[in-house]
Amino acid sequence: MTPRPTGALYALRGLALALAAIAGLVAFWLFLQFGDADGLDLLDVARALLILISTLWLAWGAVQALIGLTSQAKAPPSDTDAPIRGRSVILMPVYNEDPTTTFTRVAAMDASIAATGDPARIDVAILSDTRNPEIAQREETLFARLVAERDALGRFFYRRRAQNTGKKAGNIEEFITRSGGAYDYALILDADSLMEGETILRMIRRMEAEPRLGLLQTLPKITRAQSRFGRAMQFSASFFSPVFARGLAMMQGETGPFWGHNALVRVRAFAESCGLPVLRGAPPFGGHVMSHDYVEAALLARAGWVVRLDDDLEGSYEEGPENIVDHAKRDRRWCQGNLQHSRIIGAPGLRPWSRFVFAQGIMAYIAPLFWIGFLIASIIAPMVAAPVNYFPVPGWPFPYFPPSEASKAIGLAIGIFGLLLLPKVLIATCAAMTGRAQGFGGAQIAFASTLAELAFSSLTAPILLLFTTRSVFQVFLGRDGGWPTNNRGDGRLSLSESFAASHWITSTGLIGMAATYFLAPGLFLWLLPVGLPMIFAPVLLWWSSQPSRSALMTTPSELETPEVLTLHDTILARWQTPEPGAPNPQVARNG
Amino acid sequence: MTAPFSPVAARQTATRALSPEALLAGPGALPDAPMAMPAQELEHPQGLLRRMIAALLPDRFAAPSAGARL
Repeated sequence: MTPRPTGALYALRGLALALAAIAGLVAFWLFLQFGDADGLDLLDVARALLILISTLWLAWGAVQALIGLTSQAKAPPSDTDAPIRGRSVILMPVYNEDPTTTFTRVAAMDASIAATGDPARIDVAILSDTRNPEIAQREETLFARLVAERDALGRFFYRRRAQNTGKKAGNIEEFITRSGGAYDYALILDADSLMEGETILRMIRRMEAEPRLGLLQTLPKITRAQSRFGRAMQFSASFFSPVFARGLAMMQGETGPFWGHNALVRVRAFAESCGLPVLRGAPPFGGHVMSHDYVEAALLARAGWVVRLDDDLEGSYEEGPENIVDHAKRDRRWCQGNLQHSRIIGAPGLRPWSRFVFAQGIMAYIAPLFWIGFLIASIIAPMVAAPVNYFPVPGWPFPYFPPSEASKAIGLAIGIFGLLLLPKVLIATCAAMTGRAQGFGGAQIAFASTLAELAFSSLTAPILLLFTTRSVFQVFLGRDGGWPTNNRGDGRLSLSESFAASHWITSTGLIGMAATYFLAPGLFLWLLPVGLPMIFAPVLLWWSSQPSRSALMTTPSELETPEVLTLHDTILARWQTPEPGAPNPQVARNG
Repeated sequence: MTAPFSPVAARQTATRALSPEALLAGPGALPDAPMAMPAQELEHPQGLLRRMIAALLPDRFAAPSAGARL
């Protein structure tokens, strides 16, 4: 039953790794040449190694995009009209979210399934880990309304755990141990997920068509972003991510990813393979597994189940953070979860690709440390460099000027920028040629949006770099970040909130630029694109959280609202208007 | 004039008649269909360093074999 990667798959993985390694080694060699101009010292070698690792990481992302551009997402063979035999349930874990918004999403998905006319029965279980008693009370009241409105007595279920042990993974596990026997397939969602009924049915049919399939992941698109930051993320997720995901899908074979939501699992496979133990020791490295999804995908693959990313499936949506602070909060949790995987990467029996995925996740968070290490080493390098000897030959009256290797440094900088820019520019070019850009406002707007996204991500990158670095240090110092509720909704920041969240970044930027000015004045201009966004971080945080109505960053879901989103908007509007003659739920409950 | 009979409307009325507590304790409660979910092995019983040292050291503390000297 265990699927084995084919020779072609190994060859593709090998080629991708080789290309990334070549890029890293070229950068390493160029930097050594540059450093050798005035004599190599230990700091030069250290900086060359840091450049090697950082370039390798950048090149790996670029190669993934290049591979993704070489193919189109295709639907696997399955009978699209086959009757669904298995029993399915949609699992909606909630944790202190606004129940009106969350429950109306359930109603919209159920209505979307009903609109297909398919006779398949799909239950819904709302799995609450809500700690706030007022929200919990509203959940119970609104659940009754949801059941009545969707005529779902005996088909919709709700339960709230007394203790939220194991967070989301524990929540799902509790459901399976209590009710898993009633179902063949479970669609795991997040509180902000929305999926078209047609997509859900297609996923179930694909799972029925492939008995080895343990987990089927979709590529959710971010929707309903309002702010500049949110819309940039939304555009990036819609325009660039599918190409990166295609590249990933081609390389991972049957050892695909699980991103924790908008994915269908075979309940028996999940129950047999994905029971998560509590890791030895205390958090952040011990305790409950935080980023459980990657681990569950690895465990399914270890047990011989196919884990697949079907990136051809449309109709899968989520919402994203609207500002950098919320993004950083979520990233803090993901950082801890990914670094905790260093405890799991050596788990017995894992497939090599699963270990590689864990390594990638860890690298995604420690890569900024290599860049910062390189910048700091470059600032202090002039202090420790030996003075240039212009008269190396005793008695020779004329000075000797060592050859400048600045061209190598400039070549290296161009190469690194190329790795950052080229994949996105190529994606925009391909989108214009294939017509995909039409969904993004046309080729010109899509190209302008790409340039705007590049400028925007260049401005925010130094800020995110420091947030990530702080998260990594917090985890290394043993600080558990806990499990804060995701902020969903408006997300607009005031200047004072922005300053409170980022004054330490401003201070870091000021100290860094002052140190550069005095210690390495030759680097001052080069480091301005990094230092200025840090210094003006509060303004950037505030500005990027403000609403955006620009034609730039247009996405298909903005041009044509997906049906399930329209359904949700309609139902939400109705729920937010009190029903005529309806009793006040609070009064009805208490009396 | 008599309203046409609608099973959906009748069910909805019946659902609305249930209090939230009755709904959660009754038809809205999760089905009782337990399934085992055994905890998987993620960590070796010993850390990497201990395992490496154990692999390098001769097996001095193994129990004597029940071999030729008996």
